[in-house]
Amino acid sequence: MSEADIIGVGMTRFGKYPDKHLADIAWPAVKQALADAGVEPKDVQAAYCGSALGGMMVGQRVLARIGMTGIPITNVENACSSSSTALHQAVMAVRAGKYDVVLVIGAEKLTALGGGTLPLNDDDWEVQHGMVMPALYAMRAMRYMHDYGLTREQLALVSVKNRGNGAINLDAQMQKPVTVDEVLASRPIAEPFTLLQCCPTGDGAAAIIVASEKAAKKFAGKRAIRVLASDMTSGKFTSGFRDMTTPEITVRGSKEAYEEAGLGPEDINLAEVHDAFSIAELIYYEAFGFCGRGEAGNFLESGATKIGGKVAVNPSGGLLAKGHPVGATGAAQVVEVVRQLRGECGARQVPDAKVGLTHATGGGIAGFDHGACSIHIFAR
Amino acid sequence: MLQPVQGSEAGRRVVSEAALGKGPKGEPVLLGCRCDACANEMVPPVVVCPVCGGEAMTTTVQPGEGVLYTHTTVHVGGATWKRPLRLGYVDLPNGVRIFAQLDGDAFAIGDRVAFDVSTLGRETDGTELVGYVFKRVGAAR
Repeated sequence: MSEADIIGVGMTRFGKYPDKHLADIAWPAVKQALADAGVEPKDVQAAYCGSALGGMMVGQRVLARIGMTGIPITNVENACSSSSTALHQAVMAVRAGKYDVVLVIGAEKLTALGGGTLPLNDDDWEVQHGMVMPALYAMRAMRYMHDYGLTREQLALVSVKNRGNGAINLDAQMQKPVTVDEVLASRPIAEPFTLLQCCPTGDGAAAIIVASEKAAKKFAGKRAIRVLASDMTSGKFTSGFRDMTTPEITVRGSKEAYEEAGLGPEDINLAEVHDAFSIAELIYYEAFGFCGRGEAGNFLESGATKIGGKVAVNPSGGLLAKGHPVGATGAAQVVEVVRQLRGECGARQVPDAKVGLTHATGGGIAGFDHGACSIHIFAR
Repeated sequence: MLQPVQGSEAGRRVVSEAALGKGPKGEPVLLGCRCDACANEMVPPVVVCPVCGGEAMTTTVQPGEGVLYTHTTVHVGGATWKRPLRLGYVDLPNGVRIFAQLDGDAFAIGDRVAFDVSTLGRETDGTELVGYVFKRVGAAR
């Protein structure tokens, strides 16, 4: 069994590209990752491509643009965890000794859907009765505020921090810093959320080159970033009462990931977590053990999750600022963590970053906290 | 034997049809089911248990009152729903949590709420959408 390393990353800035085909949004990210890794297209033995709403065979459509067909290409759909699930597949294949160099792609074009909330399946009972993703997260927020006294200002502060980080990330969709007052004054979406507490919809792509230890030594030398944990799980159905202030699937997944890595929350220098809405980031502080239950608001206010704080959370700007082209998100989180661990992030560099994690979870299905969750831990 | 209401007709679609039945006086009741194998109960009635996969499911009448676990007012989403669109999760005394539209103006977590059937909205062609709702009947005890 080999270890798996990340030897190259690339991404297409998240934003709105209504006039571009999905394949044309994505192939530049692939070329960037290849160049970053110093590998040739012929070195890539297999590809895994994550997309939630891009249609059939996104991987083939992307790689056909740049002469990289004829290899095994596996397309993965797992809602917001699509490309992190694709990475999980790639890591397993490399660890198993099947391949030495594998490409992972995440690609999405949400502008093709005409805007609005993410389309959910209408065979779902809750969707049939009016459920949309902002409402689900909003109901978590309402209960959390009720149980733990979290204030609207603390909630807004998540957006302020992440917009601030996005403003110094050229790959981020939203690049304007905002204040607490501006966040609270933006238009209401789902109580208690205002517009600036919801991730924007958009398009984008990211690519990752995963290599065996042997190949990583050859191509990347000391630039290689080790995958310490690659965890993937699904939600558990329940028809009864459950505590919506703690995300069952992420609590379980983080425990598995820490165990695989042989690390704990105190070892994490930076984390890219799934902040689709402001409350989510706070709930994930607790799920990952960065702070105790009910402490997230104060933990944020203390500055502990800023760049330079105890654990920098979403230094890229997260979903709230970098954007959330659903299937591309997981791969883009990895791009940020790899660049941070290599010390390439300039103004938003996390000081002395040694260990980072990524977390993509999603899928609104009745009876689940979320449908899927994939967590990775990396170290330099 | 409990039977689901067959309420949909031209100009009217009952979105909650699978969960609506008639009580002894013809009044609407909320239907769920209990798995004979694992005893889990849920709304609406289904033919296979989502917890254990068992296929012996018994239709049950759900309690008509519950407690509001959480709620929100939504300003986005489908154009068909009545506005403002208030949504919530209601905890029934038998351990079932149900997602529902809330009928009324002001809700707080812990409110006692009661089952009813009401208009949820209209399709673009004018078809009335009907389903179960919960209304506030009192403050938290």
